[in-house]
Amino acid sequence: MEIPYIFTPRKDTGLVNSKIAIWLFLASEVMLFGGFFSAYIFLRLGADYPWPERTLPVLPGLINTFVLIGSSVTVIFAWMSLKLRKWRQFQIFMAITVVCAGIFMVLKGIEYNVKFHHQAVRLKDYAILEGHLGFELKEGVHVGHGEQPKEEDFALNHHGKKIEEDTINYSTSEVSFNTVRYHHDWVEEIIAHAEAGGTAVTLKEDVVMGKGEQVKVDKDGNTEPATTPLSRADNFAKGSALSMKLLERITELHKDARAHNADLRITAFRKAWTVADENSSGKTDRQLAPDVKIDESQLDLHHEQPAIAFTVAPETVFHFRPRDIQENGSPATLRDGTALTGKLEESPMVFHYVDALDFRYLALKVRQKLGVDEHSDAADGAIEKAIEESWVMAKNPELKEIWEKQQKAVGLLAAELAAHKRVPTEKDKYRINWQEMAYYATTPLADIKIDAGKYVMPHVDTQPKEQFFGPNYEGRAEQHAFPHLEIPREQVAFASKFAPAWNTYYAIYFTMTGLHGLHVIGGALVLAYYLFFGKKMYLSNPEWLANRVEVGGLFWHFVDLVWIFLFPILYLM
Amino acid sequence: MAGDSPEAIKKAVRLYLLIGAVLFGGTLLTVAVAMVPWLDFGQHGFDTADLCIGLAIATVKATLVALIFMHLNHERRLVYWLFGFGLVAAFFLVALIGLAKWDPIHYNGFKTGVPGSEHVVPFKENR
Repeated sequence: MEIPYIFTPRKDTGLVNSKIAIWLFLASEVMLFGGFFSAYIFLRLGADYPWPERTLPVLPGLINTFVLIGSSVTVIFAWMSLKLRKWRQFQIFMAITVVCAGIFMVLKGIEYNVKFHHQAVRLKDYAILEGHLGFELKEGVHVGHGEQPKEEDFALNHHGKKIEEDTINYSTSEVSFNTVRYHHDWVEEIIAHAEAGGTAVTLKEDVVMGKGEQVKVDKDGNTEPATTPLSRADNFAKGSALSMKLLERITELHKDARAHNADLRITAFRKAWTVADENSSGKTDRQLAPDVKIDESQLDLHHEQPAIAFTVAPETVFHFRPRDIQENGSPATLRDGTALTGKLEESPMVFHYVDALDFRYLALKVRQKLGVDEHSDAADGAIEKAIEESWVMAKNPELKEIWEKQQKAVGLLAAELAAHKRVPTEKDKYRINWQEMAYYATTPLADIKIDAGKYVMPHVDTQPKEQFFGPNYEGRAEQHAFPHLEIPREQVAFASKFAPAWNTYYAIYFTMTGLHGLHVIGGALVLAYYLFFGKKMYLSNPEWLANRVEVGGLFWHFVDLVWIFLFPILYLM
Repeated sequence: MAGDSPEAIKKAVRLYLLIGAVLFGGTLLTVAVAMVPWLDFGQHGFDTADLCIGLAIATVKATLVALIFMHLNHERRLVYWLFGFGLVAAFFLVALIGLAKWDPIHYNGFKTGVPGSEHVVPFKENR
């Protein structure tokens, strides 16, 4: 079939059809991104917390801007090369464009990855701490102060991954699984943990699901006596060991019993209903209902086992992720309905490195409480008092010292700015970022000074690598740049990685850059297709390919255009 | 299209390079306005002045991309209608925020209704 108006313009529109199509698509894209920009403004104006302005490292964003602008130029040159029928030149320019897209996505990936591994926590008193959590060590392993644990010292979960020191530790004497809802992964975790610690997790009572011979099951699913294999067993002795196979078998029998019992009940109800209906003509359904009764003792109901209880001996501490605990009492319940009997142990959140301390939210709350305008300094004294009384200041002398040094630096900055009738920002006053923290941690109070004429808080110099991957924790740990901090669970108000859950800034940041990133990938795929599979079309009809590249290029320019706005609003404002 | 002859294309090379350079320069300027002290307009740190300058530069850059790279400076009328429609629709999407702000029933200073985030009331009046 011949497609009309692919390389000759239509008379009435003066355009080739593909161009109209791409402009229609771009118009819809403008509306799509317009909606998200609107959401950004809405979230920013309505934020009930200090908006984290200028919080992302600028260098990766700047490089990405250059990369996209550069690729916009090369995609034009690729199109021009086709128009001039220079295939080799087209290949080179298009290859550069596609490589630029790759660089963009790699940098974006690094940026995302750093965020996903960076921990934030808001305390009950609205102080915010940022940094990296430590990892759980194997039981019995102790690492001396100032020493780094070795790789083999870390405890691993059943996926073989290190466990962050952000667990709810529950000393468990009994665990009861919900027969149909238990989460496979968490049971595996309990089995692996029990096995590593030599703990026995065994059936608390006999579970009699049928009339078969009673068997005792070991942790590998072997039965004793072996004449009835687990796949056919229906009567399990107290003391059988917890295993996935045993749970799955009981679940199977439970579901069979539920189905069987439901059938019997429904049949009995139908019968009772028919009898009631026949006996009382003229009654409505509602009037009939009280007469419909079934005697369950007359039915051959099978045993149902909605929960399966296991005894844990000796009492053992299991670790759960905070978000997996649904109710924290005795028994405590997990999100999959598992009930734990025992008691909650201390479950601190342990920061291996605190790399930022932020009191802006606390300041906002103090002002709100006193009814003081956000730009007024009337509440400064009260804010200072609240900070001094905050949990971090009271409990961590290292961070307190850093805060005191920061106070001196703020004084110096304020004096410098006063000459220009300016004042330090909220960020200067109430936030200590990692470069500043590393500076204060390694500089004695008497030596604190600021660079004249630069109007910035004192900070350590950043190595190029740190601009992309965040602070070099291990390198800077030798100077004790980042304090260690243990936060009791009851002080934690909200904790999250720097993911969309942390606040609306990160939510809209990930939404907009993620959507934009998908456009980069899509555009790059189309352009790469022209690059690698365009030769045949070039030889048969070069004008057609040139039009295709122009259309692909228009989309690519649009992707660049969106980034031109995203870069300042997310990185610089 | 008029500007598509090989001669016209060869002429355009310098223009494209120039616009590319302007875009690079504009990006550096945006970053400088945000980070260099003597280019910090308005108050110290980020404020409305920085916001306006940053967005103005971005708008100029975006306009150049649209006009030159996307050839909107010499395009058929239909394209203007199509893209213009998208822009106007996007403008109304952004303008929708105004409805939230001017809502006479529910406007409470853009706060979210989370406890503790209520519109700030002076302490004396509160009692």
